[in-house]
Amino acid sequence: MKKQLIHFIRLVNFEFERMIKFLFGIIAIVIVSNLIGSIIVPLSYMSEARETMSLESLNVTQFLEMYPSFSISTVTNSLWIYGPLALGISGFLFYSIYIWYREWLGKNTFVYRLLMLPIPRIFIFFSKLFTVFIGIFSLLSIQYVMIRLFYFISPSLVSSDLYKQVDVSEVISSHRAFAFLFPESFGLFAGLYSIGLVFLLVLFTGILLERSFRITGFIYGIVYAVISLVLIVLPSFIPTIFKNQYILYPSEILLLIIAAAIIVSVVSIFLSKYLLEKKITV
Amino acid sequence: MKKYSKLLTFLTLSIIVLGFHGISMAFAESENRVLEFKTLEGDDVYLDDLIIRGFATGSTEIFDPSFSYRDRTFTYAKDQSLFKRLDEVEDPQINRIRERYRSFVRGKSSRGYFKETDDVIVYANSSNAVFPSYKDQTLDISVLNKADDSISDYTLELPIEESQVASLENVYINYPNVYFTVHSSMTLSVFSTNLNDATPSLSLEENLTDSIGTNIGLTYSYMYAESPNQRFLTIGKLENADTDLDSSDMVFNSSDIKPSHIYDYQTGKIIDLDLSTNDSLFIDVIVEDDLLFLMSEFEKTFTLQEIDTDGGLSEPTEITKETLPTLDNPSINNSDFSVIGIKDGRLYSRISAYPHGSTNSAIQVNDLESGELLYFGMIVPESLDVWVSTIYLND
Repeated sequence: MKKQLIHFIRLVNFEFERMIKFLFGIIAIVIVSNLIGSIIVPLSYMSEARETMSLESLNVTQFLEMYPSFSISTVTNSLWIYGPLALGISGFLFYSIYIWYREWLGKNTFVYRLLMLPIPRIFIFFSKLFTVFIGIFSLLSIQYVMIRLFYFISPSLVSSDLYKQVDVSEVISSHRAFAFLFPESFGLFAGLYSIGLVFLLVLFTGILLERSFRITGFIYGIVYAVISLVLIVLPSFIPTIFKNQYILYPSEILLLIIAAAIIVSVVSIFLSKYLLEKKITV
Repeated sequence: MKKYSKLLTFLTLSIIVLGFHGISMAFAESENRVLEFKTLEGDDVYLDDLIIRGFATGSTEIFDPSFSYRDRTFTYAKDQSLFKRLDEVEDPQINRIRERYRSFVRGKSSRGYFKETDDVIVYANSSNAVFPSYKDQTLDISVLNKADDSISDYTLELPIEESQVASLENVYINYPNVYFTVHSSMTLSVFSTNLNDATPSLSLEENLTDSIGTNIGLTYSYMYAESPNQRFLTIGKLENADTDLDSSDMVFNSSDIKPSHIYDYQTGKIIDLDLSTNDSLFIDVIVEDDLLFLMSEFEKTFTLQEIDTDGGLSEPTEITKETLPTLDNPSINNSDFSVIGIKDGRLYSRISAYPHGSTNSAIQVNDLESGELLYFGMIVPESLDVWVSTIYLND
């Protein structure tokens, strides 16, 4: 058991080392873009505020009655934050697919060596899954540190009359993306990231189906993903099917959705295990 | 160990940063968010009768600022279990029935009409309340016999033409009789059925439009839904000419309608209200069991008069509108007052004040006969925006 754990950790570390350049690249974009945004957004606000006050002959009080004050939310709601965030999400989506297909790229297909390792093959599956999650959480951590850093940069560039102090928790709770990426409670955190976990499990299984059966496998993968989705959302359609919106209590619908998600996850893991052991082609 | 340094670094960073975020969010929420009633005058024992739902927002916005107040305790929705929160409905009576008789309530609209007695629980609603269908002229009744847990279901056809579209406006349950107030083709009618009949069916009790006249409608309260325990139906004349009467829904905002008649479901009597000399800002009819009261609101006071079966009014009891101490200028009381209801000879009212652009909510309790102030208190802390959405009086 201990030996297997050591093997697993080694594999995770190996996958992480392979991901590190990609991760550093995304993190660098986030840091640079956030820093630029934390400077440009307040300077731009001050410039526009001065211009408006001059053109409309307003003093600060009159200006604040007609226009919003500056707060850290102004920075976080700008494209300098949304842009790298979107890039990070799409980047990790791409990497979740690439993390498998890279094994088959090039002349010396690396997957052959991976499959020959003296470890349960399902470890390969879990190590890739774990690596993607570590990457996502690392990126989120950097983003959170940047939000805190904004409080040291932006306020010094804005006149105190025009600056509104807003707590970090409010900046996050009121942000369209951050409210989901940094949930306010552990329950919500577990719920949201479990959805991400199920998504990755189904995606990985679909990829393994394709790698096992090629073109036919691609179709199998699509069908599997569709069936998984249908199974998970089916409980919310039961009231429509039975023509009674109250046939199930809301908590029962949620429990059924959770149960369906667990079934899909377990099936994905066992199917992936079977494909890796018996069907995967090199 | 060196070869694991990058992995360990990022793992540790993630755990520390996200853990710090979780702790800081928990601290931010707990800051100054404890709600309580601050007694400004009187005895807070009258708060036992209240069930309140609302929202409390402060300088730190949280995902769900909704709260409930019951048994003298404020509880934020986010502190309740998720499953309980999902299943809870606004009406405390329906909540209680849903908790105790879960399988009976299954399949029935949570916005339906429920009535519980010692022996039975009765549910009544239009059939399309559980699933909208284009034309549905049927009404559903379900009766649970508590003694043997047997359930009797009835689907009753409305005796109206098929081409007409019917809308159920109100229900009165006086088991075994059930009364339905229905609007169809600009006509407001009351139909009834007796569930002890061999084959219960709906029969016309009263065509209110023919008896009273056109341009009538029902009022609704912002604070609580019409209960099937109410024996009397308040009908008003439409005063606002701009309001379109030609709609399928005959229930209007209280400001558009002035009460003119009261229909007694039990006796079938229509009580005329002569309010020609009433020059108040706002009029409402309040029902407590078999008693009727007319509430007339003025600038600084409101009055209560008992209505007898002939429409006669008793001497008014004058009640002063209390002023919240948080108002910028207490001499100008621009707060909103609304009557919650009457219980055991006491009148409960809600006050919403808007000092400095925020919202403060308070409760005022007065003796019905003398008008004496029994309790006046507000929800604190004042730094929070406290908005009360519904208030019920405990049974």
